[in-house]
Amino acid sequence: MASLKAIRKRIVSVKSTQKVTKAMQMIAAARLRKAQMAALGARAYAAHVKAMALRLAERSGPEGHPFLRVGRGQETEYLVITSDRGLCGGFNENLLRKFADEWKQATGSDAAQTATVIGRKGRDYFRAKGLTAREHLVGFYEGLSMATVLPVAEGLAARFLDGTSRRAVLIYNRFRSAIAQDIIIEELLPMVVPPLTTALKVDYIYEPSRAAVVDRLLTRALGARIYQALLESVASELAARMTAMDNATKNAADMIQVLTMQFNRARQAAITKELMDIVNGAESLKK
Amino acid sequence: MKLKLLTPQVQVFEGDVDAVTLPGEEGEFQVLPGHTYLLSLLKAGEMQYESQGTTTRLTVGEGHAEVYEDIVTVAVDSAEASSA
Repeated sequence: MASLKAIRKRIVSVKSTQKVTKAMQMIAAARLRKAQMAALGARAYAAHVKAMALRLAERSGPEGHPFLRVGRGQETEYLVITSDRGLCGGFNENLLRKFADEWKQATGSDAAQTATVIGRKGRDYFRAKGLTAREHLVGFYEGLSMATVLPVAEGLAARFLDGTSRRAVLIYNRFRSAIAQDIIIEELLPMVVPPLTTALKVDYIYEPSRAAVVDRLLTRALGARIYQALLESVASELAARMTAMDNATKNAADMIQVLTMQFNRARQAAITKELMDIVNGAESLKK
Repeated sequence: MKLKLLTPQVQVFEGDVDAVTLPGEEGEFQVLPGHTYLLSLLKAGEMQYESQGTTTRLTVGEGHAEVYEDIVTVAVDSAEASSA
């Protein structure tokens, strides 16, 4: 049996770990509320941009905009959204496993593929598996705004248009509730549009010109989708961390209970042994 | 005529207005009720809208404006009330 001192030391150590996990859980809960608000606030913008892109597509003429057709290139480009920080349960692992399945499936065929990876955890995964990504974006979440997201969208759009990529796929965690996040794999490019009605539509006046407006706005629509996905991912990450840290705190409490029991048993055993020694000593003196 | 003012962070304003003045990429323009469908890129600058006789001025970032079925949607990177 472990010595009393060793057990006492372990109890102290588990208790301090529990304090840390408890604090992390509370911080995640507080941040989650904010992140949830941000994701909700962005929904109006995302909805507008999406609706507008649809209306634009409906008016883009018989051959449509290049964004609406499969690209001329070979590559399938993935945009993988992971977190920078760990200690959030299976948040990154589950997503990356799903992504790896997709990746492997396509590896067998002759289709080329690349990935743009957001988040330190994604980078670490790629390193560990020996995969090469086109680009790793680490520390992307600090000062996250539409302005920082747009270059990513522009890059995707440019590679799609110049015949490098055939399609672009987005993989991220969507926030459903504080206890449930869904891994979403969705097509970014070509943009999926419902079958267009052939009815004559009143066209817009475009300022400054049709080409300039359509290109810029469809790229913005792409950016808005990525931005929304990032916000959802941040909220999901915090929710996952909250749950994970809550579990860790509970596990620590269980462990403390078990250790305390062990400690008391060991203490009792030591006392019993001492008593026996004393009694034996006294007995032998009597003779 | 309805105005919706959106940023990627938050919906800043939604309501009925009588006129909207916007900083278009090719110069400032005004939208009045019954305007035809319009899509315009916006540059960073000042916008204002009139509602029940009061004028509200805002400083906005880059973005775009859409007029569709008498709804003006202004989607910009940022929007803040002007002090002036």
